[in-house]
Amino acid sequence: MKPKNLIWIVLGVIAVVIVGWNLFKPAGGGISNVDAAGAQTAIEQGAQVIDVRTAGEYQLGHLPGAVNVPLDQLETQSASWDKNATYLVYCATGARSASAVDMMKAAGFTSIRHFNAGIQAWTGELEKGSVSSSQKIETNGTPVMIEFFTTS
Amino acid sequence: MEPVVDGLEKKYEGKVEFRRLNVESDQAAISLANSLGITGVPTFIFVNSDGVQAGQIIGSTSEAKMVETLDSLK
Repeated sequence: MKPKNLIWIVLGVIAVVIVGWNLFKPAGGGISNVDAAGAQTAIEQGAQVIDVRTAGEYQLGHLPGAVNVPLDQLETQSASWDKNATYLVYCATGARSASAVDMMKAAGFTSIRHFNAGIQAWTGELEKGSVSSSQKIETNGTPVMIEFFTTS
Repeated sequence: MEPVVDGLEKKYEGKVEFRRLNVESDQAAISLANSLGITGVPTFIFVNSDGVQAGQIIGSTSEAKMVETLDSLK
């Protein structure tokens, strides 16, 4: 076999490996854009939903289970997050969330679903309220801090 | 986070009630976490005295951020 043919064979094998990896790489990781259906799937699969709009926009309506982390607070707040967890990130139209995804990618987050059409493209129900749930918490007349934790 | 929360609990004694719920062993805690859409631990929920939720922090955080949020409670 001529050396030139061998080179072409090697290059061909490399190309097949690269294409194959991109086609069949695990669905759980990576950074990708999703539409409303993809966002719904991500929520159902347990993605942490991050709304990077302002608190006012958030209160008017947000995706189920979304946590409000305005874009200007994202870098600080996300410093303590699990970088291997899956996050669904959105804003109103996809502009601010694109910046958020770039920032998270640079910070080392490995699994991000970017709802790049924004909440305007969401067709499902919205939650309203100051945080992820409008459910009131019973208090004894003083403010309360609730910590949910595990020992393991 | 535990030493930080321990310290803050003492600092805010009488001002903010600290409820620390183990979602591994406490069924009531699990139910509350589910109803609030909690998907990971630790998660901190901050509630004003009227029962309205005022903030949420997911994951380990800084003491400064906790203090800032606790001070904002009404």
